[in-house]
Amino acid sequence: MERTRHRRDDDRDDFLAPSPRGVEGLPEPEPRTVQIIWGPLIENLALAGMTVAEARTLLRAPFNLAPHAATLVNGSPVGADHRLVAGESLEFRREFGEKGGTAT
Amino acid sequence: MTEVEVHVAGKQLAVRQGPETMFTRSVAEAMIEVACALDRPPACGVLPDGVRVWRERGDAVAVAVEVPPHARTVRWLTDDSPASFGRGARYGRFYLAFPYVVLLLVFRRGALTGQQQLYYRRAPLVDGEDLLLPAAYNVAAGYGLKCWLCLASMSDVAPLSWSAKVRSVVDHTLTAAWNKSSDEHEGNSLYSTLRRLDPRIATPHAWEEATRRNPRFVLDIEWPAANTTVAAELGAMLDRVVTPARVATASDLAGLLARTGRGGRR
Repeated sequence: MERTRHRRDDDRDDFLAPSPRGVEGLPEPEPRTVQIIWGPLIENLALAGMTVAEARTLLRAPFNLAPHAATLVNGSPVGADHRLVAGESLEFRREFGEKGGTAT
Repeated sequence: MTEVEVHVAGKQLAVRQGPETMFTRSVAEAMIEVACALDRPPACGVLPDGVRVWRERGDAVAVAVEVPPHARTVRWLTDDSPASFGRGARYGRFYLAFPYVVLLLVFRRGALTGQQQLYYRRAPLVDGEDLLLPAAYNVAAGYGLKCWLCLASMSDVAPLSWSAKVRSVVDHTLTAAWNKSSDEHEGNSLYSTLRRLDPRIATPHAWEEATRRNPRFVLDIEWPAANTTVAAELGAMLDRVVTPARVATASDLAGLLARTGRGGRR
């Protein structure tokens, strides 16, 4: 899938934007990008303006999203109709065991 | 035309053509030159997501994986938990920011080896290789490593593809609940050691509050220097799994060929 800086509203295949690099003086996120977190996957994508439901549909195949993963924006639960704003973090979340020698 | 011959005896390698010795090298030098000249692509083909360094030695692979700064909701042992881990452990869900996280992993025949570490960084690895001590449960000084990472409850990754293997370790590290298992088993954890470093990470509640104010605050914290680098740690971890080949004499060379199974009798 080709990665580009900005999403054109009329072209949803063009939604991927590069991840930020640099830390001290870390550049601010690209305009219109939302940080997507799903397990080990962390990507900054140009999804601002979409609803959570639209983002879930778009990412289901490329991210292999679990259909019922809970959604949080900036760490707070949101509904499917929440409209994403640039700079937000959308986390698809599931429970996953514990570390250590004896899992319960 | 007379064939070129290579003679290896003792510590010397000589290249001869007929009666003439064209040049000589020490065996040690010659082996390095040969190794450098050979093309050995990584066994994984394309590097898995996040892998910044890939080193192979014999049947072992050492990787450095970089996770970019982000905030996520994790399960973290509460300070009033009646158990340190396992049955009876009490967890809270906290939205915590993390700086760059660097995982150093050594696999042998595709399986984890116990040689695994977790460090923080405030900048990506392309800007330097020095490492910082992390405030993290389940990361401990132990087994000769500064920041050993507990992956004890992970299932076997040997059957997985390289991409799935790395993703599985990163997934477990970031999403499995954090607890004081290492405080019990290894006698310490880097979170217990470093939580007083900055009031913003002193408790998971404070860490979450600081994250909600500014998820990038973790990039401002003066995490203590680990006084080591990715290259140094990966090298030392590999040494514990596969002894580096010492090929300085004809006898060393014969031994290496015999060990690798390619020096069998004709």
